Amino acid sequence: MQADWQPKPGDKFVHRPRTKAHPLIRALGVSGLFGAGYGNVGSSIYYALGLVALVALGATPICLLIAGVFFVFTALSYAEGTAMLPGAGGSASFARHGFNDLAGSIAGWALAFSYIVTIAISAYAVPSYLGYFWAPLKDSAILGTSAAIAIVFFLMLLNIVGIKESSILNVAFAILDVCTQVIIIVLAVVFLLQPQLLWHRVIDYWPSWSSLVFGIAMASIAYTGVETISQLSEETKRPAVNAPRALLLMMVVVLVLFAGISVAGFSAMTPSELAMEWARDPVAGIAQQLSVILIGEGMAQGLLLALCKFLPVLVAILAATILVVATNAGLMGISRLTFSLGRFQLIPLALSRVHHKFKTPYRAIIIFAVMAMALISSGYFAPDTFIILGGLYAFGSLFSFALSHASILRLRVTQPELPRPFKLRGNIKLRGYYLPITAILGLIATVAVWLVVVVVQFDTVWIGFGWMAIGMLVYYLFRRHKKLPLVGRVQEIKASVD
Amino acid sequence: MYIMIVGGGKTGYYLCRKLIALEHEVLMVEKRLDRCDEIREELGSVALCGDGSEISVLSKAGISRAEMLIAVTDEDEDNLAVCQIAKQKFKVPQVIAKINNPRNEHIFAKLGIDRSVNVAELVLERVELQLSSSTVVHLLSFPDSSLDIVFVRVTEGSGILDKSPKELSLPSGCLTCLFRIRGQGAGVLNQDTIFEVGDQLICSIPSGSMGEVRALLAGGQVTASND
Amino acid sequence: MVKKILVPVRGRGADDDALKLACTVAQKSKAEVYVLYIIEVARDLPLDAHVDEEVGKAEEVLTHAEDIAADIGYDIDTDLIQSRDIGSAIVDEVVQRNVDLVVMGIGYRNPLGKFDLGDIIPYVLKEAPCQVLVYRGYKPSE
Repeated sequence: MQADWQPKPGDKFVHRPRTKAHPLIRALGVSGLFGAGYGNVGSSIYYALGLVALVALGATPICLLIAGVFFVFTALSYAEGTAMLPGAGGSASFARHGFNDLAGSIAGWALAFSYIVTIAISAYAVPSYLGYFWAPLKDSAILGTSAAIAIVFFLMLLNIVGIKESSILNVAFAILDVCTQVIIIVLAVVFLLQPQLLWHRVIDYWPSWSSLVFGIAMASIAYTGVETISQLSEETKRPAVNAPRALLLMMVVVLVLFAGISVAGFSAMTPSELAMEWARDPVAGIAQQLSVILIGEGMAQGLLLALCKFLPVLVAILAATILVVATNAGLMGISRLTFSLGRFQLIPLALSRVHHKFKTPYRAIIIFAVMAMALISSGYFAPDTFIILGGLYAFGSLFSFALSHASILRLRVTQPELPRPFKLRGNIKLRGYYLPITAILGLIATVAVWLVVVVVQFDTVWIGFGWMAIGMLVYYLFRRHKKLPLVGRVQEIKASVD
Repeated sequence: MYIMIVGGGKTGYYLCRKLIALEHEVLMVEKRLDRCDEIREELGSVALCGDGSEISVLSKAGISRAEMLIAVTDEDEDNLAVCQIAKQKFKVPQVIAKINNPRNEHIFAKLGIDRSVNVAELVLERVELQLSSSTVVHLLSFPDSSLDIVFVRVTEGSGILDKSPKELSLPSGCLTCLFRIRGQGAGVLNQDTIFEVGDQLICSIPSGSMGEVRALLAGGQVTASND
Repeated sequence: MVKKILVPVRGRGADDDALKLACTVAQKSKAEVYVLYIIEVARDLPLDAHVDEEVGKAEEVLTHAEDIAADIGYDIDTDLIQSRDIGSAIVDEVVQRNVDLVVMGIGYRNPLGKFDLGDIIPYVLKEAPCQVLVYRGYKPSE
């Protein structure tokens, strides 16, 4: 019947891909991308510094430096990947193209895990900063944990109802944050920096080797957030150009600020002070110390005096706000992620089903928010929740980073002719293929650090493995049900939202 | 390329079909509704029903982005009007017209529509090629050149018989013989080749000098050709 | 057995009813329902031109269709095509997707006092190699 129907020679048609009925569509520029990405990365310094100090004491700046180098490798690989394959799938998309759907699904689940922990750890750090205004929030584990859970719950509701994420707000926060950090760094460098003292503090508090390496692992959580920019590349006009630019800009800003902040930290107080008192709100500690020293020793006059008095308040408010924004960003990132994973048929589309009235992926939001709250609740009975959360975060993100490096390398082998608007230089030739050194080193580094995390946090890492196992089971059942192959790439669903 | 054809007769129809097969975007403008329907039935939505000599119709047909317009109706007045509008008003880069009555050729030329196809002449040339008495037949004119390619037959009593180009000492460019076709083979001519009866030659001559060439071949004097 | 249904829409009132009807028919055999919006590109633009205004309208119409389908609780797929002629685009989609049934809605238009099917519906009725269902809603009361 239809087999012998021929289209008429002069009839031509053009299919237009539909823009998604995604509530968070907006056209971002480089600044918007940077703002969103920085919101994720920039927020982590507010807890990462303390976390690293807790583990590595004097070696904190070294750990941050080394982790910073690895971060550069990761950002570069992401830049090549995102410019080559823009889309909301991020490393899941790279893995899917580099290997197959199974790898994509694994990457996706690992990503989802790091998002959950982002939500948990960002929320967990908020009460400590707010403790400036009301001490029990910081001192009482019960109060602090409950406050964090409440924050996640509230944001969950907000996201279900659907909020318009403001790119302007993101950029504004990013600028405010960078300025504040710069002020702190400048003040510390100008007034407190004494190279001798700094050196002593590093040497005197040098940790054991295992703590050092674990410190590097913890430091790596300071730099997560590359994924965000990659995810948002779909929402920018020229992803191949804007995403690498935003990534590189972020890389530079973050490295400079983190270096500066750690120097400031060690100038203002000893590593043990940082680790004991200010682990969960290190920047508040720095601001506090700065203020105390400068005012106490009469170095501050007039405007500077006012600034010093205001600084701790500013930091408390700013940090709390940024961390709440980061928690929210985590929730939003999860919904985007589930959309794209669903489109690639890596997870059941049912997870990204949208509420008929609010038009938000309420199922994904609820599931992941509840998991985050469950993780935070360990604060009620476990004394080192913070380190546990840090370890889990590293587990998930290092895993996806490693997979991304591997995918970039693999794509150089399997699809060398794919257009790469941002192609990494510094390649070595191996068996006729050009492989970027940064990706190779990045792969080795992330795998090595990941292994360290698994070994050191052996008792809690089962949560991470358990999550991955659930993910694989879901994948297996879902693909079987839809009669899709387990390995091998499946057509993307260009369907609209359910 | 976007090509517009005005005139849905047989010429237009086959032109359209062929151009579509060559992957161009084609639109036919045809007055008669029944003819339009037939064309749509055969070729798809490539026909617009309307009078091609009306500016509104041409606008609607998207003439502003057309790169070529071919007027192939059976009425020279219509073809002329369409071409004029296309060239003058819409500045279509290439305008080609079919000329039905050979006498109208100069009008088209005068109005600057230099690419035209005189159908009757074409048929005549084909006929002349067959006739053994014709000594020179026009084959091809190039659009941006002042050369014509012609077919020359060397007959008994021809003015160039038993001579070579060197011997003839023609004014340069007057008659440049390129190929000789004899039997199943063809060969490039040089200055020493001697013309024989039955030779069929492909030559280039200055445009419009057919008359002089014919005279030369009839045995007349060689004069410096002037166009 | 109807496995695939195509519902061309253009933003008129009859579209909603046509879509609901299509979903009702689809429910029995769990058929897939595709909603299609075709942008008719004028000749003075190339076929793949970006006609933002039209695309915006198309998005609205298709999103509205998704809402209707969500209310009924049926999953639909949507597509957007640019073509010189709407009728032939519909027929082409029918063949490309191997559609079994086309459902089209027509309002009771009475602009000149005459009931008019327009050009597209007769074309599809004539050319489509599958079943065609034309839905006309209630006559407006005098």
